[in-house]
Amino acid sequence: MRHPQTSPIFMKLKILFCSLLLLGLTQGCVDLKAIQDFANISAESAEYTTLVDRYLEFPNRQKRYQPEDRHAQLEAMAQERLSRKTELLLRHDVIEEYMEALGGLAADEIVDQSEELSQLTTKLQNQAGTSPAETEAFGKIAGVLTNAIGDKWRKRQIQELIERSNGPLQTILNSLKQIVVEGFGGDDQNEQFAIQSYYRTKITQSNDPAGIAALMEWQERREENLAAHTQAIQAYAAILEKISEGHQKLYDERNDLAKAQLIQQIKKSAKELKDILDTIKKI
Amino acid sequence: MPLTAEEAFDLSKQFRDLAITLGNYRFANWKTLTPTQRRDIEDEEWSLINSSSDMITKAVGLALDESETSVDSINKSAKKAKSAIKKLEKVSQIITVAAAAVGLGAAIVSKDPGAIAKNAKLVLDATKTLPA
Repeated sequence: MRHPQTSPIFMKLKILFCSLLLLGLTQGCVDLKAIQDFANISAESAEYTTLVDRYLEFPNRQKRYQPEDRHAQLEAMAQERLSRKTELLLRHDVIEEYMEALGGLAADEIVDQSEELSQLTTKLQNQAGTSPAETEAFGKIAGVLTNAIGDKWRKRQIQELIERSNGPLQTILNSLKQIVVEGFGGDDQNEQFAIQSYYRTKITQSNDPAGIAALMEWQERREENLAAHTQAIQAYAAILEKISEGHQKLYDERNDLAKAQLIQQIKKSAKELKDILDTIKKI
Repeated sequence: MPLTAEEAFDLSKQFRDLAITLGNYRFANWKTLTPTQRRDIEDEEWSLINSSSDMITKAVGLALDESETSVDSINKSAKKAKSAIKKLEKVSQIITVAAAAVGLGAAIVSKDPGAIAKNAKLVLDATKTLPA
């Protein structure tokens, strides 16, 4: 069978046809960079476990202020807290693991097969009847199609992941926030009480001005340290709130992850998370 | 009825408030109280503040128990997603898709409707080999 001679007009038509086909196939390709950034910064935030260490150390710190006959009770409390350490850290780990998985799915790298595609083009060059222009065109088509298919697959995976995980993730985030705000925050209030009671009693009982001045200085120092910790608690609670809000937005718009408004919101959430994380690291 | 984490946290606040009230009373009436009375009140304050801390320990444990099922669920989801990433990293599947796509490209260039249909189906089949 004789093939018609390729004319410039025919070539243009071919290009137009291929372009239309590719356009159709690549419709719906989503910029997942915002989701990747949000997931990565959320995973990094979940790594922050300093507050857990301080929660475990609370009963031992109380020994500074409480009479010796209370120490056995405080040691028992320390043991009970220590027995839940693994589970507490697991909440952080599980959020980190999940966010890493979400970020991994949203990463472009997992579908970058440029090297393999280049090998494929080389093989085509060796096939009889394939002109260099055609080889180049086929290579490009293969590249665009492969990426389009990969993107579509990723999008579906992300949608499914977000859909099945939002409920339990929100439960874990709320529970962790409750532990942080009411548990760790409650410890700080109890510590504040202990500092004030201890130093105020000593100061009221003392008749030595120099001793009183030294005690007041120590009280101030302890309270400053405690205030910094309370600030870290508030910042971490804000981090958990931001992760929760961001993931809820992804869940609400999971069927249209390319929506410009959603991308803007997720970018904003990632930026806010990074700012709070930078703050907490300085405390 | 078993105690919930929220109720336990609420109780810890109530114990703390009582300790604070007693402490304020002790310092406000320092001069009129006898040393024994001061010591007794202070002793009660420590009992109350430790009850508050014990209640926090209990509440944290309850909050952990209450979210246990969700932790298992997220763990499974994360593992599934990570395994999906590994699957996609398998070059052979991508190559299958790419090779089928190249065949489709060639069919389009040759303007052969039969070959286009056949190769389009191959692309579709190859896509199905990608992990779900």
